[in-house]
Amino acid sequence: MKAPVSRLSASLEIDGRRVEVELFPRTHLSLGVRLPPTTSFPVGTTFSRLVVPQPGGEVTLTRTQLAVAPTADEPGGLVFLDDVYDCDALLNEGRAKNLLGFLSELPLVLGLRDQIGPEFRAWVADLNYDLTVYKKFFDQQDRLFQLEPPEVAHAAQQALLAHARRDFFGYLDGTLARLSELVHSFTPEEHERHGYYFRQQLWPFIMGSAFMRRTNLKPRGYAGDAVMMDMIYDDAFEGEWVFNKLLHKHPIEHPGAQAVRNRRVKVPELLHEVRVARAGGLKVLSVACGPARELDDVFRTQADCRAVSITLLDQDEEALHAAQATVKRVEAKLGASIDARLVNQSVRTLLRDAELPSRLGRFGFIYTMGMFDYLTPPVARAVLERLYALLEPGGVIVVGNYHVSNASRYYMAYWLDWILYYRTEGEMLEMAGRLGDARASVSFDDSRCQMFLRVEKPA
Amino acid sequence: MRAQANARTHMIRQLRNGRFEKSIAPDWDLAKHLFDESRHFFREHGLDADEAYAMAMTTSELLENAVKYGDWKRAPDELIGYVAEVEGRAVVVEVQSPVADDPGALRKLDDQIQWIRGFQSPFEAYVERLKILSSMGTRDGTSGLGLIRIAYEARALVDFYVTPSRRLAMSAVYQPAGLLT
Ligand SMILES: Nc1ncnc2c1ncn2[C@@H]1O[C@H](COP(=O)(O)OP(=O)(O)OP(=O)(O)O)[C@@H](O)[C@H]1O
Ligand SMILES: C[S@@+](CC[C@H](N)C(=O)[O-])C[C@H]1O[C@@H](n2cnc3c(N)ncnc32)[C@H](O)[C@@H]1O
Ligand SMILES: [Mg+2]
Repeated sequence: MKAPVSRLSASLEIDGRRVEVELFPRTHLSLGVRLPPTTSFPVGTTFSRLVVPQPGGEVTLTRTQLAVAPTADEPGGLVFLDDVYDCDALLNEGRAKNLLGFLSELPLVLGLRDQIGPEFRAWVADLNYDLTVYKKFFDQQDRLFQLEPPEVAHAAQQALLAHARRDFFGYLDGTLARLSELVHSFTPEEHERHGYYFRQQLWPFIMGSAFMRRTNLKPRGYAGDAVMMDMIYDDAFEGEWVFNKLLHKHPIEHPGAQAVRNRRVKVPELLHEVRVARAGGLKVLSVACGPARELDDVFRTQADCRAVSITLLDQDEEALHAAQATVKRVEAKLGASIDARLVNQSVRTLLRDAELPSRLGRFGFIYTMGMFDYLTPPVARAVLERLYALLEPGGVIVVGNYHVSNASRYYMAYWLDWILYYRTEGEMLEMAGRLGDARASVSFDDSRCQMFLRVEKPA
Repeated sequence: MRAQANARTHMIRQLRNGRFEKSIAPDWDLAKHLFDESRHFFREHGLDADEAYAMAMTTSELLENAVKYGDWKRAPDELIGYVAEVEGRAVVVEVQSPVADDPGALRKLDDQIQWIRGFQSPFEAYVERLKILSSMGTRDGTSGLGLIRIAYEARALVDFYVTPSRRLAMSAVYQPAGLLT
């Protein structure tokens, strides 16, 4: 491997005089320096400027300090005190690229406000006003209830919830319809900008809703962690205050979330179809299993527990804990033990393990829901190929992916900061088309937000 | 560049499908060539000048990483595999290089990719990273900005997988606006 070994002549300025030096590559953000033998600057010496002559004129860098003393073999180390320069760019391209320059560009980018259309701004302002009014009103009631004994407070809050819900959800649906009108022809870049602006403005409301808070803050580093999934499956009011409860529940009732509950039912149906068609036991692999709530319907009887074994794979060990808890719960319910295995692995690195097929064995049914939506085409292709290789002849893979026309798409992007890689039927089939002899078809869930690609390996 | 990109709004155009592949030794000078070649390829296949530049920048960042982090000790004779592709509504750059079998490092990379991709606006990831950087000062020659720059400046989605022959395939996918479908 050959690294760039450009050296440069330059001068350091100190107390109004110039010291001629040579610069060498050191790290991305610091320079190697060789000083004239006649000088003896101690570590910590600060130079007011570094001037580098270039064909196009001098390049001047701000205050720099000798952080590491030069030795006979190694140049010393120069760090910059007021700016953060890309030192590779300096040595290779002769440019003083100040990384903090981006920070000084920040006001400009933050002046992003100016790139927000007046219609969108007006709409956000109205939304803000309305939500403030709703919240104030609901909060006042809540405070009043708090003065009552718990059973009274509870009953009163339930009554308010039931009433307010109709009105407030209707209101929110209206604003989402308007959002869709406003943004449907945006470019991806306009979406990013307007989404950012939107969340800045509505942040306090977002933080109040347990669900929205989690999708926005992403404490596990990604949207769609097991806790979020459980919230969707539980489909309940969360929070103390009526306003927050409503803002938690509304997105969870939206079609995009309903699609999650739909697939929880759909997957076991498909699984049992395959099981009937193939007779005998069935080895199942759930990829990106999350809390695996569908296991309730995969294992409905003790006979199911004897016939079906399951491997649950997820990149997040907390998801695997949740899946494990589901297994335990179903076992307790049925009074039978389930042959379940947990594998903590990312599908991105699953492929590197050549021994994997022999370790995991092959499967008659593989399903993956809520994961392909995060994979770009090159990765999705590679993963599907790998999963296909893990399939027994006659086996079936089912891959879930949200459709480009997901009815909750803008709700998720703007309110929840939840971004998916949406696909079309054609793109799903195209992916399967690369598997050679596979038989592929695409169907939709009832919400029509989500597609299921079904791939069957010839027996 | 981002300011100029705004001018593209609502333009209707069509891309031309195509694929450009090349294998090169892990050498900076060879990698530099690919900057121009990829830029040319993307221009030829329907991207505008800013977009083609952004994809060429992406090419450079990914190649730089392949040279820097590839496990060339284990596989001194392997080459870097480079693919530029326009297919349907996806514009793709993929770079493959040998990777060390270090589950911890791969886990970290996976997390980083998810984090960068986790926000609607990569600007958030970018600003966060800069804040960390400016407080941290220098550190072992890496700024950890390369992939974020791809997300933020080229507006491309970074992703990766490891092949059974222990190569890391790192890719960036850009979905141009205003395509005729
Ligand atoms: N081809 C690769 N093989 C192995 N690891 C990689 C590869 N590309 C990236 N990485 C890992 O991902 C990290 C992030 O890469 P990124 O390009 O964002 O930052 P960087 O290279 O550390 O800094 P910069 O690009 O700003 O100089 C790297 O530090 C490295 O650990
Ligand atoms: C949206 S949830 C879906 C969970 C479950 N399949 C369901 O339908 O309820 C996404 C899950 O995918 C997992 N996941 C995301 N990327 C993954 C990857 N590269 N490899 C393995 N699991 C992944 C996450 O950890 C998370 O548990
Ligand atoms: Mg890099």
